[in-house]
Amino acid sequence: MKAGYFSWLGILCAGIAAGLYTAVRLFSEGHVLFNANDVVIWTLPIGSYVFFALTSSGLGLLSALPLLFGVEKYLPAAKRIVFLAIASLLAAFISIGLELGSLEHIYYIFLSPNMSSPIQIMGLIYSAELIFLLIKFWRIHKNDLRSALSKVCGLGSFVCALFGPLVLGSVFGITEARPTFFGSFLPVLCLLIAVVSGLAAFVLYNSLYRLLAQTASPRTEEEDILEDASLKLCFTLFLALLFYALWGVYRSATTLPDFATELNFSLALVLIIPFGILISRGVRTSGWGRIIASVITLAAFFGLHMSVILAGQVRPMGPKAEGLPGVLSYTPSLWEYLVVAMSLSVLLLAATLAERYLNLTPKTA
Amino acid sequence: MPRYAMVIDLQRCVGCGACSIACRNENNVPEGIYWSNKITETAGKFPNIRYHYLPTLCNHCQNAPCVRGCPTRAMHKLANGITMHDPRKCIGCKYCMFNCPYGVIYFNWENPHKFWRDGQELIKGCTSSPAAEVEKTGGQGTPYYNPSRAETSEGVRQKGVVEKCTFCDHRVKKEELPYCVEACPANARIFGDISDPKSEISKLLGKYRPFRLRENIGTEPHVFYIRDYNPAHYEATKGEA
Repeated sequence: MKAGYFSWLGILCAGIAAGLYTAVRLFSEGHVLFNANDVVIWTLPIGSYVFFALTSSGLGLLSALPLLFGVEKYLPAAKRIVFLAIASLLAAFISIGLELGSLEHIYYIFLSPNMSSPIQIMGLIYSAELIFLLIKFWRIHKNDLRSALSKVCGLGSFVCALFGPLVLGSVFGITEARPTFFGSFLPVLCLLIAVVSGLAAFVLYNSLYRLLAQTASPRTEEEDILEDASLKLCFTLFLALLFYALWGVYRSATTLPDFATELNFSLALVLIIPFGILISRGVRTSGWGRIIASVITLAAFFGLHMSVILAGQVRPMGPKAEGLPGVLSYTPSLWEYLVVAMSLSVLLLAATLAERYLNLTPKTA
Repeated sequence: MPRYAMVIDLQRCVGCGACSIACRNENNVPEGIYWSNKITETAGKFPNIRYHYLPTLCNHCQNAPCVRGCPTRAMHKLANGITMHDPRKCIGCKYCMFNCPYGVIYFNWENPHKFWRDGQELIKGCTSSPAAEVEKTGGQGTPYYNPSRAETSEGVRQKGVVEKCTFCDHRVKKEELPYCVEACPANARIFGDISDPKSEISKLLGKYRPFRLRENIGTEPHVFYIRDYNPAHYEATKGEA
């Protein structure tokens, strides 16, 4: 067990070291290391940012169930949910930080803010969310769920988790230049994906933890929470499928090429698999069933994020189309994969250490 | 306060590209980046073919999406209507490129003028290396470095920030024309104050029916195109049923 634990820590540290090396190369050589160009501008690290940021918001919304809306059932798991939201947000910040060309100028976000920019508002919301979550975690750690500070932070993080995905969707949704993104679909979709991703991350993490810690006792409070969360995941997956179907139908009615094509809606069909797994009570209550369903859900959403992000960019515009084909293709570079590896490693290392030193195991508060 | 705009007369434009070369020299534009560019298109099937040439640059839109979206106000409007960029405030998020409907904003993916940093002589003992040439001329990054560009912004922009046409704001400030206008051998580019009804561009816009790029999205571009060049002719016909 001990050897396995230290091997796991070693793998995560290697992931972080590779990411740090990537960061050094990016700062010295520039983003020429990415397979991005003047047409396909935002690539894998942005997909990673969207994935982790939305997952964090979903976990933030889930934590509001016990801490704001008084759903007692989830109270024992609140500490772990809040910590996972913090760790996911850190992963998101790493991805976006390494995507920015001049991170050293980031303080101008505060010195010279432009409140008409969705990126500015998104940055402020997610920064505020991180602060609220950190204070909230500290209060839970001190067994304080009733003080004014705890409640204010609970409300603050809920508001941030609610508006974060909406504004993130607006970053794409208000881009008139790109018909693929323009409209209100993306903000609403981002909020929905946040809820599904947060639930999937919670179900996956807890199911894996129970499997690894071998605490699969027949009926426990933890098992009740997991069953309830799996059912909620199943329902929200149904809503996501419905939303994608609606979006697909809406788009099929248009003749504008870059609006009608490029989006790979067939990828959304993968979500039928976890929905099918979770709708059956027998499978839903099994650890492996939940793990497989939540892994497929998260992987499908990562793929869908990338599909949507690229769909609006693959057609060159204006003079940038000179000498290029009508539609470009994109494959991530090794450096882009290493940015994702670092983000994921930080998330998992934080969770691993917190399980050991901060006692995240669900218990009655 | 004037509101600057540009008219491009497509009947006068010969597609020589002098505007682009002049722009590169004036603004120390590095390889792979085009403040002044063009859209070309060959349409039809031989022998009934036509070649279109449309010079492009930043449209200095009234409702500039790049300005609205920039989180740090690095991309901003000057009182005279010029859309300006401050590289010192740019975080390199590239949202302006993402938002620009015209594809005229570029990102410095790596340190600019990389070929001029090469220390290798082309012919050993005969020619100097690009890096030695830069040193000899005292340029910054390129031997053709124009120091007057640095009067209102960075002379050479660093990696990790975007850049684009500024209507040569440093020249306009001194009541000089943008260098692409100055360099055009066919006088196809006319620059001026659109708010002054007596200015040359106001007269041209009144005389000819101008068009602007992607007008339907409401950005109010301030680069206008007038007329077109077409030497072709055809015999009068009513077609056939």
